[in-house]
Amino acid sequence: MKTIRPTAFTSLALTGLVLSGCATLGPAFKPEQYSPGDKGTVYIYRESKMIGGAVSYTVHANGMPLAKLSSGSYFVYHAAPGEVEFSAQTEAKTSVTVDVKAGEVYYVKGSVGMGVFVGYPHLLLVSSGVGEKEIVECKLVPGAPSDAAAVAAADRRQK
Amino acid sequence: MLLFALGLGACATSVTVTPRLSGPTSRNCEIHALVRYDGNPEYLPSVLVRDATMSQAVTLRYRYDINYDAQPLPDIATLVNPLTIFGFPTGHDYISVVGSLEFIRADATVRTYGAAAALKRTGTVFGEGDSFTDMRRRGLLLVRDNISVQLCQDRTVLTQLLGAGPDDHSSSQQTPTGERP
Repeated sequence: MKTIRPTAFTSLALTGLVLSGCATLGPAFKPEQYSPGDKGTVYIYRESKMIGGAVSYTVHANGMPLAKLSSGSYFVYHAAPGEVEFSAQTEAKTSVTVDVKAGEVYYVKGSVGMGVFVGYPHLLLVSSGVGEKEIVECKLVPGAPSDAAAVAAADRRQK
Repeated sequence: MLLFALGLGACATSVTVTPRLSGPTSRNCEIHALVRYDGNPEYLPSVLVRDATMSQAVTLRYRYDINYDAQPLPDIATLVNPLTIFGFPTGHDYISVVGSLEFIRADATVRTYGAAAALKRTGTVFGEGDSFTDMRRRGLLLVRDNISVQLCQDRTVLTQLLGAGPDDHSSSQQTPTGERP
C-alpha cells in the first residue's frame, strides 16, 4: 500500500486551501436592467485582492443568507424599503445597516481584514461614485438570488 | 501589561456629539405637532408626539444622514508589523450621523434644530470592535437625545411657534409642548 509522504500531503493541503477560495464566477459587471419600482437595488461587491483572496464569506440580509462573496465578485439584491442589515461572519462578525428607499441604488463593499486564524469580513456602505467605479472589475456570483422572495424560496428548497 | 492595554483600547469606540449640552431632558416635556418622518420611530426625538389634531400651519420634518468611511492600514504594513499579533491597530472606521429637525410654515423653514455624532472604532486582528450597525444605532440615538434636549430648552418659544396659525385648536386639552393648561 502506498503512503503519502508528509511533504506531499502538506503541499496538497495548501493547494486545496488556496483553491477553495477560487470560486467560479459568472460574467463581468453589467448594471442591473431590471429594478422593481417598489424596491431599492443593492449591489454587494468585493474587489479582487491577493491578500485575503482565499477567504470567502456568505452575506446575509436581515439574517437571511444571500450569496457567498469571494474576491472579485458581486451580486445584486432588491430590498424592500426600510432598514436592512447586511452581515457576514468568519471568525468575527461584521454588519452594516442600510436605510433602503424604493428606486434608490446602494453599494455595499466587502473586504477581508487580517485575523488571528482566518481573515475576517468587513462590509462598508460606500457612495455611488465609489461603488460604480470599483464594481466594474467584479464578476457576477452565479445563481445568487436577487430578491427576498427568491432567497426565501431557495431557503425552503434547502430545508 | 502595556500590550494588553493597547489591545483593549483599540477595541473601544470613541464618540463625539455636537452641540455639547448639559442637563437632562425634562421628564414632562412633550411637543405635540404634525411630524413628517418615515423612518424608524425609535430614532425620532422622543419629546415629539405625533398629533394629527394640531395646527397644520407649522409642520415638523425630521431627517438624518449617515456617512461611512474606512481607513485600513496597508496590508503589507499589517503583515510585517510584529505588534499586530498583540493587538496593534490594523485600521480605523468612521461613521458620522447628522440629524436635523425643521419647523416648516408655508413651505419655508422657520426654525431648525440639528445635532451630529461622530464615532470612530479601531480594528485589530482580534476583531473590528462594534459593528457599523451598532455604531449607526448609537449615533442615531445620541442625535435623537441631543435634539430632544434642545427642544425642551426652547419650550417657551416653541409653544408660541406651534400655537400660532389659522388652524389653532383652542379647544385642545394640551398645549403644543404637552403642558396641561
